Amino acid sequence: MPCRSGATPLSRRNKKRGRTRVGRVRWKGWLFAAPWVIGMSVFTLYPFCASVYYSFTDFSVIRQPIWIGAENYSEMAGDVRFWQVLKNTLTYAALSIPSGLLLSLSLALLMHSVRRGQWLYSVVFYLPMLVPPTAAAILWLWIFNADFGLLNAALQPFYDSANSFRMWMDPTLAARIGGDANLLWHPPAWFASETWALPALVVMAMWTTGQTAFIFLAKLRDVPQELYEAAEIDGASAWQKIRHVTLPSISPIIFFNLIMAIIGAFQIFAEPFLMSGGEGGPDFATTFMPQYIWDNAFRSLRMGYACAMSWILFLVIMVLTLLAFRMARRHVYYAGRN
Amino acid sequence: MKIPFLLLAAIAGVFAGAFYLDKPYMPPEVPNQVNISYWEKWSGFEGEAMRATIDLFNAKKVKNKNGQVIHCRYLSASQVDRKSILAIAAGSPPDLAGFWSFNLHAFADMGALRPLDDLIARDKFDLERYIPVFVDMAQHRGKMWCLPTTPATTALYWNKDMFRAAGLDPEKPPRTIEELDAMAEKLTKIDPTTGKMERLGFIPAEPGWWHWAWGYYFGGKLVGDDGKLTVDDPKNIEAFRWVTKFAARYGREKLLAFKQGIGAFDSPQNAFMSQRVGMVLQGVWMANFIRFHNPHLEYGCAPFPTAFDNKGQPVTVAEMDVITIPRGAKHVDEAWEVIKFINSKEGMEFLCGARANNGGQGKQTPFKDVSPEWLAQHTHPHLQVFIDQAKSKNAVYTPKLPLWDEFRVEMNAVFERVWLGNDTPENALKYLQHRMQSKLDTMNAVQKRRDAAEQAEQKAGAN
Repeated sequence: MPCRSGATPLSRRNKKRGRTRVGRVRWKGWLFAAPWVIGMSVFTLYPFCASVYYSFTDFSVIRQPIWIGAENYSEMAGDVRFWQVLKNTLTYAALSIPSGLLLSLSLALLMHSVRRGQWLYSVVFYLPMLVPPTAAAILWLWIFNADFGLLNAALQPFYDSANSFRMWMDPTLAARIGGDANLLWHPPAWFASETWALPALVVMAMWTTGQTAFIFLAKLRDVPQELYEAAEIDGASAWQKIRHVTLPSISPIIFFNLIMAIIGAFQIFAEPFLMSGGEGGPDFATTFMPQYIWDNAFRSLRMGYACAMSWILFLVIMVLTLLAFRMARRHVYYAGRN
Repeated sequence: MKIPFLLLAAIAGVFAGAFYLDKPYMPPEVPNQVNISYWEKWSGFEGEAMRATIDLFNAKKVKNKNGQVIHCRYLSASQVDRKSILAIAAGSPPDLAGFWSFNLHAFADMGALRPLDDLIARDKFDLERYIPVFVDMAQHRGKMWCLPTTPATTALYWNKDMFRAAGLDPEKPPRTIEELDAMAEKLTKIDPTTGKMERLGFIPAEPGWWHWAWGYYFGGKLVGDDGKLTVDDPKNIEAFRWVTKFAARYGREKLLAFKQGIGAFDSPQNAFMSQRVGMVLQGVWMANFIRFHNPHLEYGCAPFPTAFDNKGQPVTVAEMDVITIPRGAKHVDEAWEVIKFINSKEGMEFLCGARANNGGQGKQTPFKDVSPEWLAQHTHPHLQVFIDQAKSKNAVYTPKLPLWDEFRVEMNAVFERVWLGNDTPENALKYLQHRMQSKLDTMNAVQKRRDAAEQAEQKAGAN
């Protein structure tokens, strides 16, 4: 009996103590997580869910939302500006993502191959990240300025030579240029030209590839040396080593950077907004989805239409990310996974 | 194990303290005083002029019907239109908000403003004192939504030194579009060796603020009497044909480069003030900036040329800063007292004047009559041109469209396409007509729906 009577209280006590401890730990955990949980719920989760409802309403912010069914979505289908802006966004993504990844990977490989002063290159390539986007936008506006910009000052001699050559080939050209000044070749007017404004933004985006390069570099240092040695013994060339050792080894990081680049490219806002004076010009050439959504939400105060567009943008990003994940199954190699 | 609890308690204490202290600033309660707030759009000297006017109001210790002294708190904020809308939506708007006249119609339609008609009628506030165009601009759908703070009209500014150097009579500005073109050609200077444009007589893209208005200078208009858009009116097309001539004459890339080489408006690199453009369409305010950035510039002002016989009624773009009472404002009567003071002769001449110590906004007033001494002390050498133009039958202003901002952006894009020769004026304006009319129809339908919903809501509330 003493045994029974002694055993039961002990186990109960243990059980009770254990439950209390776990409970206390849980309570503390939630308390510490509370600022984030509350912030996330109030500022992200609630707006995220509410935007689904608002996308089916006419909502001017000032007045109560009015349920209008799928009208916003059908209006979007017929809105030429929406399609133009979506095309701009996809074009920007298609140009900036591969070129950004390629450039940052090349930079990382170069930095990795340098034996001395690697830190110096890292600092130099990372520095642009410390420049605020507004300051960078103004700086690039000056570089790309068609009248006194550095870029066109460098390009002008080539255009002058080309024009001289054309006049030498065709002596009547000089006279014709007098009648139509458009016959003379000039460097592009970049941000003032509807053809060149978007490519100029892509070039500008390369300015901040340092961060991606840095992430690549960290992984490059992690590639086992013996793999290179084995490849060398097998007689692999430098390119073959990159192709068959380096790239597979860093593929998870390439994948990570790809996903981040997709998200980043579809969220471009500050630079084109600042550089076009908030109008996304010339001729809407630099209006991207985030700005068009912002314009509708806060300029035209059509929050419902803006929410509907946000959901389309969300779906586009999600589909592209899923495609990337699908590709990753075949092309990304994780050393720790069988 | 007690330390974490103490730590947690301390953190909670800091949070609680922060929340407790983080109350919006409330001015100290002064016995028998009521505080109201005013959000103003301008900063810089224009904002200071408005602040001084509000200070003048406060110094008068005007009392409300309860015998309390009205004290207006002035706040100058950038993007005041967007901030005010969000504040109105959140139910805590300022008592007064300063907007631009082109904001009015969209804001009124979305229910962001309180109409002033009852206050005007109650106090028998005299609207006959105003030049009619400034009252017209304040009205929308039969109601008054604001009163002016500083009005303005636009005119041609020409550089007399450049006229002399080009062999033109500096006292004779162009009267017609043909004369403008001919004089512009003479004023233009291109470096013969590099082909680079040193200066231009005139380009319609500078400053680029009134692309929507070019048609009016050719006898066209944007909205018909039936409220339908008339963007592709033949006169508007004619205006845009004129716009295309510049790129054909000087070269598209060269013009773009020239335009990019021009500095910001409020800077010594401004196209007109740096003498890179000889003639420019600008508002009455330009004289202030010339005084700041290039005080020795010798210039004249005249009505901008038209392509038709305007019979002494010049075409001018009228604009005005306005003061409104947002919907949901808590001190309507007190706010109205401030509006009335600004719209008194004393308040308006103080605000719009240009005193020797750089006080005042340096613009014109909205009134038919101004004091001779006010005119005499004004620093704008050609102020009368702007005052007279406001009285013209051809004084035009931004069409009262609920989607004006979108229209303006689309019109600017059309201008960019046309002036660089990427599209024909006919195509571009037809496209704009079709796009904006269908948008306008949608907006009108949306507006009807919103009004119906609000009426139903009010009915339900009343029951």
